[in-house]
Amino acid sequence: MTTVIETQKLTKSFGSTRALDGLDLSVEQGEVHGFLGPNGAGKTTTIRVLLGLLKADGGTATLLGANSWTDIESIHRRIAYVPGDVTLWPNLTGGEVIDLLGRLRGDLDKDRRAALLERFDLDPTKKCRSYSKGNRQKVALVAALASRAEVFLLDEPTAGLDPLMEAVFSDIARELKGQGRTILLSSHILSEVERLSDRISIIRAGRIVEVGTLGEMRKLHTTTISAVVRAPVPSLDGMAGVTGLTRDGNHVRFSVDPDSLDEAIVAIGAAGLDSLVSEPPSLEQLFLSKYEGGAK
Amino acid sequence: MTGWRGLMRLAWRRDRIMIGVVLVCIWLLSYYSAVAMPQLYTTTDQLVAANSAANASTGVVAIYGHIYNTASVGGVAANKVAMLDFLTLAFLVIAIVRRHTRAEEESGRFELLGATPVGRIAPLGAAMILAAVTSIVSGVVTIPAVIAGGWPVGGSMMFGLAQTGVGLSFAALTAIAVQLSSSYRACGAWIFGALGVTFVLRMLGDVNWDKPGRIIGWFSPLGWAQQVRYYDGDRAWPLILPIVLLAVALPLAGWLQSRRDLGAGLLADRRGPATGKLGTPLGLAWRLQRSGFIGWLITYVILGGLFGAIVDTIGGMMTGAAGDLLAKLGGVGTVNDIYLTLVGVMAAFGAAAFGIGAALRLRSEESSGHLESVLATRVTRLRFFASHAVIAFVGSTVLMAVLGLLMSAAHRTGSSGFWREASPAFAHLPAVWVMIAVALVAIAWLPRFDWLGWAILAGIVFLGELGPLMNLPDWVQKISPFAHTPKIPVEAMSWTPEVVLTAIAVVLVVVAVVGYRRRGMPVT
Repeated sequence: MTTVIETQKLTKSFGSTRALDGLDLSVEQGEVHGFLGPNGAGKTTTIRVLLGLLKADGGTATLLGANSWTDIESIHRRIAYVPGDVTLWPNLTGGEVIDLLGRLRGDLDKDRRAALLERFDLDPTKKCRSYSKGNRQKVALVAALASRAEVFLLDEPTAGLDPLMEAVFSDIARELKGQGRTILLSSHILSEVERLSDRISIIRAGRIVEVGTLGEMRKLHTTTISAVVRAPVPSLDGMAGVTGLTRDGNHVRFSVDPDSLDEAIVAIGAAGLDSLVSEPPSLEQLFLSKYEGGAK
Repeated sequence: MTGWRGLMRLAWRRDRIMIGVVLVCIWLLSYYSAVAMPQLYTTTDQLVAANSAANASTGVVAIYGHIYNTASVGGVAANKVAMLDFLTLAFLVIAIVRRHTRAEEESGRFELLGATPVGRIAPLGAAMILAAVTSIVSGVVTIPAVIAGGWPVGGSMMFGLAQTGVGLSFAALTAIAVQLSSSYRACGAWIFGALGVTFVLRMLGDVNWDKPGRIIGWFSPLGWAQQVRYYDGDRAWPLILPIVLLAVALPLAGWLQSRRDLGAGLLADRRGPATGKLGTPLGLAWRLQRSGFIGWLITYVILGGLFGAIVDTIGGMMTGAAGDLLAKLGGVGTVNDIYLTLVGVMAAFGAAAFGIGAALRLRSEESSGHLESVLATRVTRLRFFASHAVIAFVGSTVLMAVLGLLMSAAHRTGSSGFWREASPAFAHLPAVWVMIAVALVAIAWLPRFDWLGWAILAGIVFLGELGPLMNLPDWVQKISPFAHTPKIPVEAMSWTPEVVLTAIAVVLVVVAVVGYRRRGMPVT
């Protein structure tokens, strides 16, 4: 596996605000990497550093093996970008903007452009000032996705899109992944990241607080068990790793740490089971658990 | 109109510095012009001679107006400062009305307000009230300022109120212009075009002051203000005309605003091509700046032809004492030469304004978020910077060249030589380049203070106008690059300042490029 995006101990301050505080991000070739965090966590700042728009105060940022600040020209031929806040030239048409950005990048795939316009159901003859937010987003998406780029930096790419168009985007993202291309998918929409991403980095206050596949992350977090048992299970009381235990007649509910999971299951199994529902932690729970703790 | 008070407070909060600075400039300029008069003309004879000389020059009449009573105390100085005050106030109210109506709609901020219980015409109303109050304050405070400077009370009242009238007129015209087109920039083209037309109309009226053609001047709000004849007959009745215009334009603008969609204009957006040919940063920059440049070019073509065509009427109408006096005031050279020199300097200020505006596109592209998409491609910062800078430098140079060549071409009979009369337009180019380069340095190193380019140009124009009147020390007046370029053909050509200024411009551009490549983007 080749690492196509790598930052090490990246720091960036704006005045007294520390936007990036030792950020270590690593994205492998051919993966869809979810970049997850709430507003203001530093997602856009990270992407702007990777694009060479901002110069990091400290640490290193490499993209496709090259320095993201100095090697702009060689890197930018091979990447495509969708900004988080899409603004377009009001007096150019959508089609003109797509072609302009394609030519500036240096690769414009005409057939792919036509196909994408069709799939996103976008009218390229309208002036950008008359597009709705969703349609402006589509212009930016078509402009980026019509390229033959190896790496796609997508900052909240589905903002403003309707669910149908979100699905179109998901399909295209999977196709790109199938072709071995890399996508950094910055978002705060958990379901989208959960659906598409191979690995996820959670950013908080300018640091990556957790990274891994969804499966790996789940291993680190509690599973919720809901069971109807035939006999009481007194051994659950005080069992290490079990929290939030509630009993309602034969119905028990509790959360259990990964380490104590088999012990707990054996205990309720021994009592005899009428039904058992086990919920792995959702990304939402993982996410909230990282944020609910407040400042560490 | 529900909610206009809150909107007006918001508008005032956003514009108070701009309004304050511009008004203080107007008041200072007026005060010092009045103060300087007795120093320039110590006897009535001198005053009459100066006013007669001004009347005898078609060029002066075309720019500042005709003086009916040559013993007028304000005379040529009042006409001159009045025109500067009028134009400055007109630009200010246009900016106020445009910023708080169409600009807000185009940016989408209006939607936030539109969802609150704010009336449909409240934003227009709030902007108009702020513009009207600004016009009234500007004119009313000017009155004591010029009385303190030593001008007569009656005339000063007319002087100040005429200024208020100009402000109200252009607020009214802008209210209509913002209804026409859905774009902020197109709205600017309409209203600045209208300002240009009103200036030319009053120019034609003034030049024909003793012929039936003078009626043309009455179609211009600037002409109405002049017809108040401050210090020169003091007639109050033309002051009613801006009120009439306001009374017609305001209901019309309100009616248009209340029946159109948010964000739409009367002139609908057409569809455009599905594919584009743009493929380079320079192509994009040209596409964005094309229409603005063409507007400037048309203006300079017209002015060049016009200024050239009237050269002879100036010299021809100069007789005896008047001609002697004007020659004495301007130092050496013939009357024609003084006129050509004056036109060269004024046109250079205009070309510098175009260049600074073109350079500032770098910033508007940055703060609007367009820059990010462009720099994410293989376009380097240097290439992006160069694209708009090239338009600023080449565009301003082309404007001056067109003006000089046309002016000389239009003055055929009695010309002192084609190149000799075309050259005044070229002589100030290095100073224009320095001004653009200064704006670029501000854009690169102090992006949050990108308006410094404008402020410095305004300061230098005011320095040129006010410096001699205020008897500022020589070194202060020499800050202006325009103080160093040779005033040909009055003075002899001198290459040293041209080379030095060009070198300074080059160094400043290099400094700007270094800063632009270093700093974070985008700064908003």
